[in-house]
Amino acid sequence: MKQVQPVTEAEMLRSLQSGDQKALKSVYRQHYQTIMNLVLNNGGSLQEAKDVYQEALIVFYEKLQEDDFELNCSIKTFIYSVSRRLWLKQLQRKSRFTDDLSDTDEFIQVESEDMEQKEDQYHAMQVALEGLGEPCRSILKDFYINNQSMDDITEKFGYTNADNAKNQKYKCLKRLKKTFFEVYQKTGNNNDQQERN
Amino acid sequence: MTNRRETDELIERYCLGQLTPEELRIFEQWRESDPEMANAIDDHRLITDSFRVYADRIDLKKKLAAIHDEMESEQFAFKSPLKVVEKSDSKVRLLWKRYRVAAVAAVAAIIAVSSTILYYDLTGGGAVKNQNAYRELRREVESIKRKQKALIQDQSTTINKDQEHEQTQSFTGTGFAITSDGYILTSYHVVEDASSIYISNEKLGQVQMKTVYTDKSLDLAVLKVDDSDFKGFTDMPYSFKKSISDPGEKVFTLGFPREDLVYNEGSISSYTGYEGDTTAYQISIPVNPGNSGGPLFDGQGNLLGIISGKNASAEGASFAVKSKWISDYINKQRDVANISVPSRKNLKGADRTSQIKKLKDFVFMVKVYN
Repeated sequence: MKQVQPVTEAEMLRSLQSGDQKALKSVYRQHYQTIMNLVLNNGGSLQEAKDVYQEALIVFYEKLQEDDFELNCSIKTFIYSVSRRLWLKQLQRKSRFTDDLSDTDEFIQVESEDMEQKEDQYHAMQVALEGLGEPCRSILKDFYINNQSMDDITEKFGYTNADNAKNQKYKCLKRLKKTFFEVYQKTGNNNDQQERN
Repeated sequence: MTNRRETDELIERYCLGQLTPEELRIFEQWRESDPEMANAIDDHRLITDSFRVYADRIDLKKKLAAIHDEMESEQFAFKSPLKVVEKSDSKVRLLWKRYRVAAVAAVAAIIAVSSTILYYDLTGGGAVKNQNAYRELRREVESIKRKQKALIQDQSTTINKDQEHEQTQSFTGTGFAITSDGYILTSYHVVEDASSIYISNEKLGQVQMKTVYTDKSLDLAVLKVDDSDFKGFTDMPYSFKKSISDPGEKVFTLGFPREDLVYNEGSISSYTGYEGDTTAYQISIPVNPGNSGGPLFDGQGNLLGIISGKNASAEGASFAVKSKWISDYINKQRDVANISVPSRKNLKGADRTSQIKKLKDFVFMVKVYN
């Protein structure tokens, strides 16, 4: 692979890492056409192209936030490779067994485990949060996502004292953990099976 | 058990780096001597990390969706598919004249097999009901056109250079004006997943629309004219009926099951729609793919509802969402777009042909490109 990145790519990566919205927009526009062609040329619809593309960008973006991540190909190749991998997986899920796509671009091998750990975390959290009722969901979101203090939560949800609120939060978290690990472990196992097949 | 809770709180404070040096020293010893404790810490870290992953992703997904929408709207303004459509339309029409008989047969056969069956989901994914018989009535155009194109090529006349553009057109339905400044109403399933939407009729010609808001469960979509040259419709001649109509009342609809406006009449057969759906009437008007989104009027020209679908396994059972639900829904969306539903009664007492003459300018073919 290429060793030297053009300055603009390096700059782009830095901007993306710092969460620059404009950089995200420009990357999005730059590569959409390529991925759209890839999916459309390989039996997909426009909607599927869009979904695959956005999923690939999420993988890319999340990778960039990892401290030890090093991109040793161009942004385009990376996004193309991930999209390609994602689309192959979808085709396999639709039971159209194929290892081969008609490619329009060069690509690198992407390991699916690389992409899937966060996906599994996201999925398990989504299922677990959806399974919780209120006020549990809001309490946990406020504490773990919105970084509100227990005092804020005590007041917001009308608990008589902080200890009651803490107790409620503890119970909620316990329930969330239960579902989360059930789902997380199950998806983990499934992946293993798929890899073996 | 308080004990467990205290342990969990300790783990949480440890992960947040909130333990005092003394607590930390004891805690670390504990962690090293008790593998279960080490596991519990790992689990807790995974959970808090997953919260972050989850929140970041939701945020990122929103951003990407917004970027995509913006990009798409610019692309359509830039490419101006409007002209292309007109061109291909005129070709189709020309062809229509030439090979009318063959085309009619081909189209009829294709409509019969290719009418889309999309299952109507009242609750947006919740309750499972027997949806097999419910048939939405948007019309799939692409395959019809392709067949017509094939006919052109057989006769070795002009080669159509705009084929790709034509293939992007997918569905048509019907829609009607609800304000004079360019809001129209149609069925949600007509504009579902649309990249761009156009409406057309004899008086208006063709203009581009944008979606203002939609409701899947009521199967409604409010669109607005997205064209700076648009001058407005003249005053709406009809009003929304606020009360519920009774079975036996004579009703009629105007719609676009084909390229030209088609009138059909019948009566209200039931207070409820498919499988007892209280938001809809059952009506005895024969409707076809393309009729979806069409207005349902009573004899005085009051709007009673909007055609939404039919029962594929029963003869003469069509459905229309009730006007009361439509106006309630539109009123609820005040903060999105301030629309007041029309309340004129210019059609009362007029005979049917003059009613239709007035109404036809407010009913449009909705063309959807995916």
